[in-house]
Amino acid sequence: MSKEPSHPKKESGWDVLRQENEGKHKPDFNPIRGAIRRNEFLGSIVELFVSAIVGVSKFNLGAKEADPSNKSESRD
Amino acid sequence: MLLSLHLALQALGFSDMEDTELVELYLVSRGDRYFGELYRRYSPKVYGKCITMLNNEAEAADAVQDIFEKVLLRIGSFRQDSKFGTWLFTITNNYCIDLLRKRKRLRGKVGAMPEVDIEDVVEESDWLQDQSPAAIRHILDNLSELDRAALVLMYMDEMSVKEIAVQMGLQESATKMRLKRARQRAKKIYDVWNTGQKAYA
Repeated sequence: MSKEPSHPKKESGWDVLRQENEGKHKPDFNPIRGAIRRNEFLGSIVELFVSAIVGVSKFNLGAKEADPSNKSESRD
Repeated sequence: MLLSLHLALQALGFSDMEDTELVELYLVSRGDRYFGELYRRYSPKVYGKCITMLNNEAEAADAVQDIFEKVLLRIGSFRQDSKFGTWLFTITNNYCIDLLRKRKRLRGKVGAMPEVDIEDVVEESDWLQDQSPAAIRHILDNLSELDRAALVLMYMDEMSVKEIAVQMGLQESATKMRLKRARQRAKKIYDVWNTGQKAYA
């Protein structure tokens, strides 16, 4: 079982100043929310681009595969 | 599993959640409410740090936005073995010190701040630790940028010389010298201020 310290650490002038400065903050999350949306949008563009490249390369690979029966027909 | 955790937590709210859980959930869902909770927890502390270091309210408010945008971009590289707060304050300190260096470069080598002659000041090691908030504010307002940063890291963040050296990108010996000189300049500023206070009283 932990005991409460009998003499808690005295707050220094530095601690008080820090608390005063922190108290002056006026939070505004909207610009950050905007940045999250921008990142999301850029991420989805990149994702779309990557899927398009993968799709095209698959299509190309498919085109390269020649049907052996067609080959023999073309020779004839 | 994360999805069920996400749904359960939506009902409960975020106050009991660990920072690392919020980071994980943000990375999985990209939901701004998780990042918003981290912002709610830490933005006053980041602002407090910025205003102490930069000594300018408008710059500090801009710095908070910039720092959280940086965090947003780098959050994927956050390693869960360290605390989120520690990671965030490292980014904050780096940001402020970079800005102070830029300011110093813009002002030139001499700088707009009056350089205090330190030769006749005898160093007293811990006098600065025990000063009132008003005295500390006066000292910080009148010190040069990098002296202020060094003293804030030492007295407000209670960092060791080694940690300050890493944070400021200096050798340990150079950091010790900067701290010594910063304390001496602070003493000179304090003595002038204190004499004025006594005369006024």
